[in-house]
Amino acid sequence: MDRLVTLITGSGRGIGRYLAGHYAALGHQVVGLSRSKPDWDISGYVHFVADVTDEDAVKSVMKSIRKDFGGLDHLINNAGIASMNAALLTPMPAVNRLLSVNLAGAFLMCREAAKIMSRKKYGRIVNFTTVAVPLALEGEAVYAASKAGVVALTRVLARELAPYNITVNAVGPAPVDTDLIRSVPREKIEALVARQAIPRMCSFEDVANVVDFFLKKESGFITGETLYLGGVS
Amino acid sequence: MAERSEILGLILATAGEFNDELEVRIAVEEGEAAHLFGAEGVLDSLALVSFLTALEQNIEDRLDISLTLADEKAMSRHRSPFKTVGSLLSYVLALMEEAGG
Repeated sequence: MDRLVTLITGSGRGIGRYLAGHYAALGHQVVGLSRSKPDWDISGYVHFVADVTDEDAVKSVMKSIRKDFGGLDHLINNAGIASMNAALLTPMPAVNRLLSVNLAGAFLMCREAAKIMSRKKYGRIVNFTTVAVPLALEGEAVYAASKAGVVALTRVLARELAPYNITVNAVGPAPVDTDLIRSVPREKIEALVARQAIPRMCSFEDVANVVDFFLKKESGFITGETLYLGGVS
Repeated sequence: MAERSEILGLILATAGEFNDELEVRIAVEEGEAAHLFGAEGVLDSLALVSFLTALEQNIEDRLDISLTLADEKAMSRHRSPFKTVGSLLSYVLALMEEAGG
């Protein structure tokens, strides 16, 4: 089998960076994408500086992937932003930016990746949602709504892309210790974690385990599913 | 601006790639008259999407022009631009002109 090509968005840091190293170590050709150039390098990894909301930039990245690697097997749609704000105090620019990156950006990546995958009639897409959706977390109305949109997107795309042998699933991590939650007050995180069946922070390894499962060739009969971590459903 | 014949060649080449997978083949030997989609076409809606995606990529690879062929405007037209190779050719040329290509 040819070397698997895995595209990871938001790969500059946090979960995305961990997954980049994880899949490069497994022998994948990893292509990363984020808004700035990372200050690290891994063998088997190439990076593109692009914003997932920029249609021209995303198309350009996909063109390079087709030309340089001949196709795309996996998309790990990890890029996302968070904002903790009481609904009554949430400014519209923050609303628009959250929806643009978390939902529209995820859609754009899925659409363009699926165009490449459909040529070879094979693909695995893993989107990222959050436990804030089933927990209906106060103070995260727009963030949770954007990620609920990702769940719906995942379910619909699963049906539309099934004829091309492309599966689309989502993982919903519990809080992971990354920059994404660094601005959230500690007591808020502790209260959230206490609502999980397994009350601890989520690790990078926990997330990678679910992504591994969805990416497996043997997981071809699993699509449209969202798997939340920590026991929140 | 790309030549009309160059775009026609790309459409027919893409159709040729697809003929390997189709039960009823696109009559590429008929050139612009070959039916693609609709009452007399050989592509169902799923195959049409695949075909247009492949054509977008071939145009981008060969001419370095990024087009979106299956957009809302095209799908809602009374006369489908995807009916024949000729109607698709006219549509692609119009899009390229709009894009300044």
